Amino acid sequence: MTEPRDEDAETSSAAEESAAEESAAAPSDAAPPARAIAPSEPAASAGVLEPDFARALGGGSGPPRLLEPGEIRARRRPRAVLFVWLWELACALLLATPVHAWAKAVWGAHPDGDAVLFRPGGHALLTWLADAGPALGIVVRTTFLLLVVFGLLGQIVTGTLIAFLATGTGPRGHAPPATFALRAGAASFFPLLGIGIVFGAFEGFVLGMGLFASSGIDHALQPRIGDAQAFWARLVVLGLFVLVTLLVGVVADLARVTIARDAAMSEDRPASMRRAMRDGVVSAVTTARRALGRAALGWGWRAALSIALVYAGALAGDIVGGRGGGALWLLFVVHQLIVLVRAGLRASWLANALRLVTR
Amino acid sequence: MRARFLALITAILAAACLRGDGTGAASSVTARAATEDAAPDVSMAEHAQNVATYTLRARLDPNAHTVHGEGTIRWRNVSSKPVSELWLHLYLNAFKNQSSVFMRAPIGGFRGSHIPTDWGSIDVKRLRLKEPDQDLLAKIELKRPNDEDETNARVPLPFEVAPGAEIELEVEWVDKLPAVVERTGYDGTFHMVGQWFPKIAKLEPNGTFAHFPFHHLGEFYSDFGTYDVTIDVPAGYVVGATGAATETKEEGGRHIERRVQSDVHDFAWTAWDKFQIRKETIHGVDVTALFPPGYGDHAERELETMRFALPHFGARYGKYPYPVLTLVHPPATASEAGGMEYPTLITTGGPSWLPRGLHFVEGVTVHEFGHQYFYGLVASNEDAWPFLDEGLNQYAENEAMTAWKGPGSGIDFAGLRIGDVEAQGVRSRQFGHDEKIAKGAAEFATGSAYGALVYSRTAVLLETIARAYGKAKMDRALGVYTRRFRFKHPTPNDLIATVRDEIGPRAAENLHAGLFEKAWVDYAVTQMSSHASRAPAGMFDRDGKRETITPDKTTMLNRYDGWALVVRRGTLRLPVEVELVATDGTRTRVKWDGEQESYRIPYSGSAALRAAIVDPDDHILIDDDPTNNFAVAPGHPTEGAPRTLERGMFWAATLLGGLAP
Repeated sequence: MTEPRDEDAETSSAAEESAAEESAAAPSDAAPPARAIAPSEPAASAGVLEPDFARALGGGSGPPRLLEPGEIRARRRPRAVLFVWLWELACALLLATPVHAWAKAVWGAHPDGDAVLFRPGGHALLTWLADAGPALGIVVRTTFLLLVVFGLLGQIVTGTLIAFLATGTGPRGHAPPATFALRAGAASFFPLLGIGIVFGAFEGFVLGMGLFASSGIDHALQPRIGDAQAFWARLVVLGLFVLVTLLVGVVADLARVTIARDAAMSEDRPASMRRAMRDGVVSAVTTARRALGRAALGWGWRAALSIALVYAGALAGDIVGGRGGGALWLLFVVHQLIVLVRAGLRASWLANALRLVTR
Repeated sequence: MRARFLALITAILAAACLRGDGTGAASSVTARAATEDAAPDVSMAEHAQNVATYTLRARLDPNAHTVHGEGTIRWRNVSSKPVSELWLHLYLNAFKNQSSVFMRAPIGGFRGSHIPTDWGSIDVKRLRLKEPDQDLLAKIELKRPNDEDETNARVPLPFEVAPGAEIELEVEWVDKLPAVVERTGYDGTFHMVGQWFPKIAKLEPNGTFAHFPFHHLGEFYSDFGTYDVTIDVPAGYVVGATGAATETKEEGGRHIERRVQSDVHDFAWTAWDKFQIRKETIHGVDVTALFPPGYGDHAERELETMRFALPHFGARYGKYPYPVLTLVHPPATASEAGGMEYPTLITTGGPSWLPRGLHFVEGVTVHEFGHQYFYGLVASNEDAWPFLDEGLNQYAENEAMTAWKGPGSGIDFAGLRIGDVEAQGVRSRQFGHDEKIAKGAAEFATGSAYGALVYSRTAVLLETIARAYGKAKMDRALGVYTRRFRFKHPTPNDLIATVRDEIGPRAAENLHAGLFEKAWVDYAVTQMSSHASRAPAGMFDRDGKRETITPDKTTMLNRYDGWALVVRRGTLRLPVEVELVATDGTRTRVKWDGEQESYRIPYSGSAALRAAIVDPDDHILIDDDPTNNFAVAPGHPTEGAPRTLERGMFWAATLLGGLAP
């Protein structure tokens, strides 16, 4: 996970890019020139401060610039991925705290602790949930509230990650200073939030239409082909709408990367929220018209891998069951590796999206 | 697999014995034990007392959703008193209007809580006494004063029917089936025809009739008899019905089936032009599965369930005595017709997409088949004592599903294993302090209370007694009960007396208290203490000398002594185990008979006492609060909940990032 420091290493790294990702990209085994829209302000205003922190996150020297498509690789920003993972780890710890505190209060004094919740048959688990009283509502609401808060703050993390991926310093495109990326992330907060709301509403609308249409088709077909076959027809129709919803999500990501990238490079003169959103949507739609298939494919295989990892994590949890000690620690490591790899996949997809919108 | 194999062998042996004894004229046979515990030697009636013989003909008009019925009813006074009236149950009138007892009951939380989209009724057109020929219809009293309900009709007789004497009635009627509601009715061309004919109420030995209107929560109670029913439906319709088909023909564009079955107390049938059929002979019984198109997998699951259930129930509760069994899976739009039992015909249910790990299809099939014993063969009064059917049957379902599917008998899906009986355990606590179990169906305040108490709490009470005193004893007790009272309409006292005989007086007292007195129990660990032991201080005369040892000079004994205090709250007195856990991990179990309200359990060990658990194996499933069954000694660290934290963090991170990148 060490970032390449010399030219040979970088050449080697570039040569390893997958054919799919490289299909439209120029070879990048030589240091590319800085793009014209690199900020002209002194380094200090571009955020090259706090050198220790910057170095800690892989920051290089020189003014940040936009990277060429061929330079945009998630694997070149391992510490940015680690940063995302640490964010998720911290959020997960806080999100899990209410339910953990509740379980500890009820079952912590049992000599086997909360292992009883994992016993086959589910006597303790059902007792815990069914006899919860007000605790269940409190825990659910608190967790949901935390989820909303972290979901909102996550826009900054997404913006920061995109800034890390989209920009670099020096001829080799080293990671930009962390403060620069963080400031870019913060600057893109409101436009990203707006994009999330707009596209989220659109996705909800499409999904709602899907539910409505599939239900109507189900009921219309039931008398003729029976409810079992009608249900499959319902699933097919709903699946089509889900597919459209996912494609809308892909387009939303194309808009996000545009917004965060532009915010990173216009830090001194940030665009208005409306303009940033409009530019993002225009760029996303333009890119989608040009390369929706590639974008969907790039997102799709990573999504499939990510879901497979979650399934593997669930399976590992099932295998460990209520065991504690070393088995539990091992499970923790496996689960966090899965979270880390999923963060990497997220970064990889955003890098892919950046390449698509930058071309 | 081994248990299933043993059960199969058991049932085959029992069946062989039954066949051997049944060749003679004796009215009872002895079911041989397949295992000593499960199938006791008990006299079991081979046939029921034939009280009513119904010879009926029914013609279905699937467009008008009507059934035209006619025929004769031959009825015998089997009581010790002369009888001068009959009571007829006309239960389809429950759906005639909103003035019926059924519709008036302000009860939610149970099935049939919606107003049918199309009303139903039964109109008796002719009711004549034969020999002497006399009309009875003119004097029929359909309603009581100030009551519009027409489900419970009184028919004065022109003379007294002496004990042992018989009368014969000619009857003709027209059913208008309701849109499917409360187990009966139509949905499109699907017709589930239950409670469809004028049915004479159960005559009790004292000459009174157990008659009652159709209540929202109430079920049924009838005399045994023989049913000879000819069903006439349009050609192309598939019929499922009580009893074996003795005659089938196509005539004038109609499909006509004659069904004959003795030793049953009801008759139901279904007809649909879209039914698919699968047949299989299982354990000597011709099982027919009727199901909607696309439900082939469900039909297979139901047949698979019967391959387990027929021998399993046969070994425990006596051989299933009928030659046929029909499984009806109603279409999804008529699910209200599902989950119901009639003699030799049960309705199941479950949506087509239900994955195999969710054992709903299997559970409902086992449950409804179990009713063949408790509702069908034992035939207790479901209106007065619904727990005798639903509660005992729920226990039997839990037992069977656990024996078949193990700890994931309810759900075994995505790593989650939830037991049927554990789910009942949670539900049983919901109304345990509000109402008693043992009372009439109409007396329950809500459908939710009825469901939780009659089904779940009864089953959990029986399961608790089984775990506390031994499952083999409970198996034996219910085996004796179902055999001894086959065709006998037992009461709660019969059940409790059987438990007293087979398990013991304390178990019977607990059962009685749990059923009739809202009894409950909550075991708890309240305090504990232990300390390093020292030799006693004081003055000691040793070797002719007096030696004084002050407390600070006593010798350490390399041992810890202490105690744990467990208490029993509530009035159920059940034996229980207590586990003492030392700091070195040593675990010791102590038995407590639960007779006193508390028990200070002495502790002595090489390490300090760290914790105590009362009922560590969850035997007392009816325990009001399992979360106070354990405690840690003061000053000792708790185990905490690291597993919940770990899982919580993983799933929180997954939720946060979304399933996809």
